Amino acid sequence: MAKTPKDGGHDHSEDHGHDHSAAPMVDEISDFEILELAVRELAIEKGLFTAEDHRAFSEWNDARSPAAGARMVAKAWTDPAYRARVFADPLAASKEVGVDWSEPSGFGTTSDYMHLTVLEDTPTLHHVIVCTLCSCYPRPLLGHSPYWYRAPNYRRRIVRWPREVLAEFGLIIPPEVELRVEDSNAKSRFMVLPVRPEGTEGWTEEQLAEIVTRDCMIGIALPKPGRTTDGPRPIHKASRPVHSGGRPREAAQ
Amino acid sequence: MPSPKETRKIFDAGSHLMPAIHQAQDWPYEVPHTLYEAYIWPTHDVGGQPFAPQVFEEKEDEEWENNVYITCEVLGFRGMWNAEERRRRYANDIGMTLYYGFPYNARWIWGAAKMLVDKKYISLLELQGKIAEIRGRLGVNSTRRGHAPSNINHGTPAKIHTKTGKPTSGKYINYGPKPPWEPTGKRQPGRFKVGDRVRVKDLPAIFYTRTQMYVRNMTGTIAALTYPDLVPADEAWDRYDAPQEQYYIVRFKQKDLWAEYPFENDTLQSEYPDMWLEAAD
Repeated sequence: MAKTPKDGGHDHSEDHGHDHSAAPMVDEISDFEILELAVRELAIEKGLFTAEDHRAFSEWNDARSPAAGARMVAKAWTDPAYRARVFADPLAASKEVGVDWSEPSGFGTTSDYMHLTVLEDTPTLHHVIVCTLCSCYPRPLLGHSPYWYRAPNYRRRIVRWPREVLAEFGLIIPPEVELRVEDSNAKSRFMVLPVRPEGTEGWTEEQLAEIVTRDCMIGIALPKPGRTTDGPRPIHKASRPVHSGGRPREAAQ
Repeated sequence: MPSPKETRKIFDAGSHLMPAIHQAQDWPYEVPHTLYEAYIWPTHDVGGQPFAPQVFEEKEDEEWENNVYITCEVLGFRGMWNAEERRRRYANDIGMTLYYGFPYNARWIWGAAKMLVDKKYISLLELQGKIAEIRGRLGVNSTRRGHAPSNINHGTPAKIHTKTGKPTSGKYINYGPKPPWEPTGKRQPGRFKVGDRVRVKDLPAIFYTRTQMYVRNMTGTIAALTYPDLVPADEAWDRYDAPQEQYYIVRFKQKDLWAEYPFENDTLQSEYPDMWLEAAD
């Protein structure tokens, strides 16, 4: 991993007029990293949870991805009986595509609860999800929320200027279509089931799942043939990204 | 010549400048009611606040951010807190300066540390000692190898304080059939059915709420009955034996929420427990 001096390589000599005799500023560990380690180590030392708890949840977390939600949408597009189950019993329908909301604990996760509602788009109704209060999101089906979804700007504006915000994402909703914002403020979690686009007649579930991207299930984009990625959008790269489930490299493999 | 990237940086810095009216705020003798409400407005409740567009950016998780998420979730599995208490702590108790000043996951771990001290799982001195120890071990200002090495021995079993479950040899850990945050109080019968017109109450916003300011005193229609559960005001303080209320999805006309809203048919839905709603004519 590259070690970039924080000061951009400036010479810290005596001309600064104050003491720089301490160690040079090189790729510091952040205060928040230290705080997390402190909390985790104290919790384990005190027996509040085990390192195994942390490892097991990390494994579950690593397995999350919007691919699960895409499978659910694609199956609902091709199988009318399944589509009915998606609305009648979303958790069971979720399990059918391999996502058991009771994992990884037996009662789900601390943040996600077990109340899923799938929002059905039609040619005259379009849904978009938000959590104006924090960042509630259907993690078991879609993985971690994108950063902009958690950030105040989206949360502030999408409930009041939804058409403007969607346009900023490149999605124009015709005025005759009802736009419905779902503000996920309690324990229900929501995922959008978009309308199956034209030009996909005869496609297999796998082909269809390819065009159901994360943004389509949030409701800030529509699926269409040939569109298999979200964005384009600027990406802020992590300076120390998650690896091996977010565990320190020296941890037992 | 600056590069285009540097020019953009200067542009961004310039556009962050905003004039501010500075008024002495040191312990005024009186606070007018409107200002009082503004002060106590729960920090996390930002829906509908005007703001200029910003670039929607995808951000990769840092390793520490991922670790914070996992640590906070696991504290929930083991009954130290629930997500509602976590949100109260990291999004409201933290205060506006840190709410906007800290990174997203920094607030989570700040809230976790404060919770452990408040509930006497650890003492403040222990926390301070541990932070100092880790700083000494890893060395602030020292070269590091891309991540924070820890002395945690993964896989070592340790004593558990709560009685919520036991490790199994399965893929994941089975913590038992019930979450530690399972409500035990009586279920109150719901008063409303789908199609009923309801108004959201405007109870004092003091300390914590999941009822957004923008829906208060607004009238909508019950769109669905969801589940019975604790109300956030109880759950955020671990009052698991408090009464359980029926929750509802309420549908509002956007034009009813925002007078200036230009599209007739657009709607907004959100979810509330029975006690936050009253029958509207």
